[in-house]
Amino acid sequence: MHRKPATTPLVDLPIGTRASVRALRETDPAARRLMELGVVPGAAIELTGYAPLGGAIRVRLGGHQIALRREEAALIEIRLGSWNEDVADAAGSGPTGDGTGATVASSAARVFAA
Amino acid sequence: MARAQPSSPARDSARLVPISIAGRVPRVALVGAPNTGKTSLFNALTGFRRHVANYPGVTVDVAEGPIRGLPTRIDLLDLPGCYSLDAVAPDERVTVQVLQGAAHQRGAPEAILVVVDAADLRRTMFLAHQVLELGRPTVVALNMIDVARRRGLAIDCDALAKSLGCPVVAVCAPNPDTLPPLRAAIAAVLQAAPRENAKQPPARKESYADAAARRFREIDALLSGVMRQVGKAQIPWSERIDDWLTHRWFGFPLLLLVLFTIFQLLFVGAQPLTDGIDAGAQALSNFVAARLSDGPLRSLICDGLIGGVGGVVVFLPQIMLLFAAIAALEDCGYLARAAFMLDRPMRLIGLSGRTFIPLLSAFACAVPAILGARSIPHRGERFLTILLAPFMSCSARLPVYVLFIAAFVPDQRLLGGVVGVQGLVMFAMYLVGAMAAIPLAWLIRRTVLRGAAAPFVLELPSYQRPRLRAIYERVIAAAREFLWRAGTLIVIVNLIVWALAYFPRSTATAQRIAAEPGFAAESDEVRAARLQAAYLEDSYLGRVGHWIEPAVRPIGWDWRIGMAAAAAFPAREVVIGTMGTIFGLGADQDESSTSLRDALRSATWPDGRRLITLPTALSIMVFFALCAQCSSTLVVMGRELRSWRWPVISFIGMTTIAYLGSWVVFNVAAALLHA
Repeated sequence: MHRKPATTPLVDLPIGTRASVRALRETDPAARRLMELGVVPGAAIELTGYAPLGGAIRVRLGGHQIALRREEAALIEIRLGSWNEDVADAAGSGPTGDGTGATVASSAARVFAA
Repeated sequence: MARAQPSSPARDSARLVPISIAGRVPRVALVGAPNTGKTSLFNALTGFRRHVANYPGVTVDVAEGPIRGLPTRIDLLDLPGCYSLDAVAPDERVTVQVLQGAAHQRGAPEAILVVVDAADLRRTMFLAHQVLELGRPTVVALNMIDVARRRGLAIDCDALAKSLGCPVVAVCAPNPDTLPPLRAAIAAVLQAAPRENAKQPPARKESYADAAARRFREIDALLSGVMRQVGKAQIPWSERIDDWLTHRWFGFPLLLLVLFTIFQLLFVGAQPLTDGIDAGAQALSNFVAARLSDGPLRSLICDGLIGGVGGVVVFLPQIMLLFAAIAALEDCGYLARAAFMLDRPMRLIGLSGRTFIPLLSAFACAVPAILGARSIPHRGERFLTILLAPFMSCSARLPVYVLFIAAFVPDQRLLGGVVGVQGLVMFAMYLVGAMAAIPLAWLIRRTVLRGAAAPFVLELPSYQRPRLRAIYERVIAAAREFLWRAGTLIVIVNLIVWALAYFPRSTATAQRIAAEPGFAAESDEVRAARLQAAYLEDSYLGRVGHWIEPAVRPIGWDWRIGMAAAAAFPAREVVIGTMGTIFGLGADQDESSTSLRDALRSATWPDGRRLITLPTALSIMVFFALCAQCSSTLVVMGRELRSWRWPVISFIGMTTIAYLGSWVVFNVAAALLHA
């Protein structure tokens, strides 16, 4: 796990990288579609794969996956090492679950408030 | 589908009083983000009884159907899926237009049913959150509740309803038991006094990103205490499959393998059915021929009707199989992955991966592909997709390939019998159009439609088992359309061609042939055949044909092929029927086994050489692969691009390209064969 949070665009990262969205360059026309699909500041994002012929990547945002190009990925500013399991769980399909029945959405809300 | 269950719809709705808003049937708009199961829910609620609603102002057909199991009629409107109400793509704008009450004399629908995906609630609530701000009577359907449960999510509907301020009903569209509460909720909100602009959102000055972030913050607040992780959540199996299906090294070969398998399947899988229909048409023709005396009527029925229409109907199994395969690939979610993998190559020609989905469906038919391009937000990309769709080898070209490949390509197997040469040629024919489209797209993108590359952001929906009902619907619709065309347009064109090829049948022709030296010495069969051929030569069609023959000689055709192809400009599959008519008329009427394949094989030039050899067959197939022989496509193209100029350019351009392509293929193949 990364100790120091580092801010970087979502490009040239290894598969499996988890981060949270810090900001989005919203002047780009693609930014709106990205936001509708859940790429908003604070969202947990995971790089799940690269396209076979390059160019595009796929990422997971909670319960769903989206495909986007390198250019669109460069619009997304992420903060490495700030992956929050709760954020991922809140969206429906986090990698872990402790089974205690804790209200995960509320902890997600705390993350956003912070 | 709905059976008598413990909670039957009738009993559930019995406590409802009849609803009538100003004496009219209330309408409920069904909205939802793509991949939330919106259409399944529509079908479940209305029992597939849909028709196109009267929305003259919008470009996309809005389906409408009455909700089943209610004492009074309530109509449900199936609006195009959208991620938000800040629409970009043309089809999404329609949803916004209808919700705002534009485009219909009666104004906005009386209530809104928003579908959200329970398994991906946070994101799909985005649209619901916007819809609720409209302040209109709204019901939220929490669809795919079963999937959410399997992922260990517990959702408290009552709490969610309280925080949203509207009814929330958990449903699972394929399960009819879950629907009665939803129906009751819809009826209830319609009965409640309309809360006009109950909570008008305060006007804010904020950027889109801030607004989106605020919305998600509010959604998280709404969901807190409503959604809990009770079981063990796992990474969806769908994602683990993706690691293989879109793998950096295996993904692409796998995609090619999937596409190639479909084409092999078309040939092998449909063969028994095709043979059966062929034999049936032949038997019918023989049956009629045996009971009618020789003359125009027998010829009209056997050559014009059975020969023409039967020749086309033979290809029904293959067309149904192709539609089924594409529908299955799309429904299971694989096509979105294919779009993801193909983005890079598509980009080289100025398109993005998302155009792969309409373009692949153009392999079934260009018309739905052109209509499907409405979901593309980027204007230039949409234009280009529409212009390229007719180049993709649609199912109406399939009969031409099947006929000529079966008749003229040797049935050999390569690589130990796994790959057939015929299947390989078929695959090549499918590539011809796509290959021609590549340089063309590149050229158009650099000249007429210049501009920045379209962005590529695409949702990859979770894999699901293809729903048989959805595939069945698509296949049946395609089959019905195909048979309707075979029964109308193709019959009409065929009858005209038959009449032109049969008449005038003057006695002068018969006398001329009889006077030829050596005619009397021939056997009866040969004499009859020569007489038929002479009648055809002297027919109206023959006269026009001889006049156009110089134009088609360079691509290896005679006038008969030329006329059959010319008659196929309204709809390309007509060619099978017209060839059946023309070559059937030219052949001996009394011979019973003159299937079109045999007639084409035995056709000759006047000097006795075989008319159709492999180069000629390839030339015909390439011409049909590239030519714009489809009036429906051109009409739809003109309507969608709102200009008649594009279809005209497309028609002239494609015909030219087709002719040049055939010329090259014919000459290259002839040179290779003779080398």
